[in-house]
Amino acid sequence: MSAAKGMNVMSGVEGLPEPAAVQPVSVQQTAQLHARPVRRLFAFVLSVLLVSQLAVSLLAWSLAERQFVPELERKAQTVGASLANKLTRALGYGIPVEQLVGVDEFFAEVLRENADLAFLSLSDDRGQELFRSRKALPKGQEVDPSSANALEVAVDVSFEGRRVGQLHVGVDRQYVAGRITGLRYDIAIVLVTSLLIAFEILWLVVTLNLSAPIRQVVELMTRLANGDFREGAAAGPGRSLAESLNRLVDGVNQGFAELLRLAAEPARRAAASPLLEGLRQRYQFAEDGLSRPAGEQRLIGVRILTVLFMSAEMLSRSFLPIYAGSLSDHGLNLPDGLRSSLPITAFLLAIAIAMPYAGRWSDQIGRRRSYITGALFVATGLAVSGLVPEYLMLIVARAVTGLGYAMMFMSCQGLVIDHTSLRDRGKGFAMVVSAIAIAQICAPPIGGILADRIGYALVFIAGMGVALVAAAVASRLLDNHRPHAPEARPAARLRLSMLSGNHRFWTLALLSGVPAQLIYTGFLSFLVPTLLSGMGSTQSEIGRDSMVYGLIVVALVPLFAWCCERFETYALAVGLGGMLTGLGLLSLQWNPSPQAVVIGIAALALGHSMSISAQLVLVTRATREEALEVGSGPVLGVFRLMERLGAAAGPVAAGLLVASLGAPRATVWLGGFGVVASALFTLAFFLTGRLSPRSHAA
Amino acid sequence: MKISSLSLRISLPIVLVSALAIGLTVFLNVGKLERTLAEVEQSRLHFTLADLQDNLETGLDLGLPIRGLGNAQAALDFETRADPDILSISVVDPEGVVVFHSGSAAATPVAPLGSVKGASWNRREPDALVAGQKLSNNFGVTAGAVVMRYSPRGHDRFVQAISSQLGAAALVAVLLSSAGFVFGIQVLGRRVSGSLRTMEDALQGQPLDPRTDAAAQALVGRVSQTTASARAELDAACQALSSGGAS
Repeated sequence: MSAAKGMNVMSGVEGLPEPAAVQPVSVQQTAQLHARPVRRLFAFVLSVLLVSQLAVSLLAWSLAERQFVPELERKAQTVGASLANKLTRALGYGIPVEQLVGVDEFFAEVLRENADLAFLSLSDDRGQELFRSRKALPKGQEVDPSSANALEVAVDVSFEGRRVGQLHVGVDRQYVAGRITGLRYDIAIVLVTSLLIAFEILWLVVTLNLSAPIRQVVELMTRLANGDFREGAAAGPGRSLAESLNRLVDGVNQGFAELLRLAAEPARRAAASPLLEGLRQRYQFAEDGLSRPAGEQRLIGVRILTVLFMSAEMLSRSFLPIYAGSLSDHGLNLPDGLRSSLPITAFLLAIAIAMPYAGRWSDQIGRRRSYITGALFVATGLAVSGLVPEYLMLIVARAVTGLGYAMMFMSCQGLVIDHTSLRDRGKGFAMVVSAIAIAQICAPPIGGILADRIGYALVFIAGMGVALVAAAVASRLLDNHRPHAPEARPAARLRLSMLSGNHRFWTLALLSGVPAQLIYTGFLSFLVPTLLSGMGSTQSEIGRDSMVYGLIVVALVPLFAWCCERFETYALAVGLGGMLTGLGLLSLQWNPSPQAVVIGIAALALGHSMSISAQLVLVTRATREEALEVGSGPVLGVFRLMERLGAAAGPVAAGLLVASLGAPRATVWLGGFGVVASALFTLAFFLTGRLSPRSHAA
Repeated sequence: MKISSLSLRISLPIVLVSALAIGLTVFLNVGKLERTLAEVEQSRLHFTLADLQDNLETGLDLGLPIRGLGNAQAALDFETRADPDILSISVVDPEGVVVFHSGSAAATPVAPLGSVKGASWNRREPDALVAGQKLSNNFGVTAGAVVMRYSPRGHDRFVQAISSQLGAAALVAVLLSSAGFVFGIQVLGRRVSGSLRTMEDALQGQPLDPRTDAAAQALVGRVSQTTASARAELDAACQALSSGGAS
């Protein structure tokens, strides 16, 4: 703005400076000022984490190679001595060493049974090689005994006190390295998980301590550059700059207050009016003369709190049905599949029943209290699950865990509502959704790895520890104050009769929402561990395979949400998503293998990625009229309740199928159910769309 | 260099996560190495047992009862002398009762062989690695078993050595990465503070350091300009009202 004096065209008052037309400064233009240092910090910390873990793993591999050499040499000596004895016995029958029959086959069998041996050879007393067998390797890979890859031990073959030959045992040095390399998936999981958790923690700590205060200062400067003097900066890093800015803001606001004081005098009112109007068009002042400090960024805490409570529960996901199936049901004589599934259903049913009440209760007593109470419930449930190996106690403990889970979930959801306006609520919920996805990616594989090494009980205890950490973090981050508590709505209650004539809603709920959740919990929470365990997979492998779901959902949900919005294909996405899920599970009909289970998990993830957000959009559209009367919350609440009941029914339905058909065929039946439900959904949605007067709405 | 409380606040949780992750990596590696070692050891012990099995089953094939294997004691004594880490080798009958025994460890009966699954077994006891191999005659009937108790000293020494070496490496990695975190975050914090201070100086009329970020320069310039403009307009408006507005 120019400070040149002359005729002011805007106020029409001679002598006032002429304001120049300038482009406003956008927040996007200045965002790099606070985003760049934070990005650098993240890159630096994550790189150091990555390098340090890789260095430790590489050291372990090289140490292993060196430390194993003496043990491998002992093994080679023992093998050599044992085989030499056998050869001596054969020589005792009077057969010359060079005429022994079947030595190659005998050596080959020994090599087949001992993966650490690279080759066996027998030479005569002059060193001439007579027989030789090498380990069968994949095409293109050969073990060269003269290379450093093999460690050779020679044992004399003697007969009647005379050396008649020499047996050479080659030990594969790469064997140990190969075994350690088998850990690469586990190490990669630890690496990815620690990076994701470090990212979450870093985001929280940096936001609270560094980026939010700096962003506040930069945003304040952006507002000042655009002529907005209504807000000042709070203390924090850059406090000195904030104080300077506050002095500038206060100076301007004091000037405006002085102007208001003069303008308030009756004799000057007429002249002041155009002046004030002109100034207010160009600038925004604190009308009372005092600037307000900008609000604090508290919402970020919801991410880490969601990751923690979800992880506490999901650590045991990869083995819960196996653990439940291993406990005696004390004479209840439940079929195997049902016995394994009931604890999962107890957990999901407790969530379905408790969630509506937990939400209201959290509103009443505050987020901090409800989250911490939920964490204590979860910790108690997990501790009992691990410490009391009793089937009925496990069911009770899982129900208690479900109650706590519902409290924590609703506290996090409430926290988003408290700290967001309608404008940025979607962004707030996206934080919760991405935190859930991170827990889904990290917790099951880590739980599986730990279960393989320390046992089921200690993994439950580890989950309890995570829940207690969640309570401690919540006590530090949360309070019971609700800054943007929504105004109490007039008591409009949703009656189910209001929805009874809405065929589209029921089609969505019964043929898409309920089947999707039923298949999700029945397959992913119950059948995947049961199937893979039956196929001989370790807990680590089960956890690793379950991770595929989270990875695909994280990658594809935003993509499909964009596609649906762009091409208006919500109904198609829901129908196709359900169909894909069902077809994925049907693949076990032809090939009941771990690979087919992973295909099923991937198909489930792909189907859910397509349908999750599209389903909600369709529900909102199909219930527009009801929502006008009672608000969208209660309508969505009914849909959610039905989904959760479907989720609770999933494991028990799958368990009953397993009891009568076995796990692979139970999966196929579940897939068939998915395909039929999706086909019916597509047909019914199309028909209700054509027949219903609401067709334009959905 | 004085460490600011801000860099400590940011570094500490990251150090904790880093320590946990490195600890878990070491735990996984030690566990895998121990299992691999146990497999190699078991395989070696079974070669020794297989030799004894061949030797003893020759007698059983001739129709001798297990108690009547004349060469058994000598064969057991030969093997225990050959490897000082062998604590004992016993031959047991189908009921698990010891019929021949050699070695320093006391003869311990085993469970009846009917309850043992498979032809061979391994288990770890507090004071020994135990490997067993069933003996059968040429009709395939289980006539007894040979059971070896092996000193776990070598195994435990190996695990201890690997654990302490990897533990030390993990400690160094945690210390180095922690120092890296604190130092890096401190440097970054100082750089951010420096930029903020430069912007503050510029707002107070001092010339901007030419190295300052172009966006920061532009923003400071716009803030100064807008604030000065607003104050000038307010002053002019006040003056206009004071001088002429009341007349």
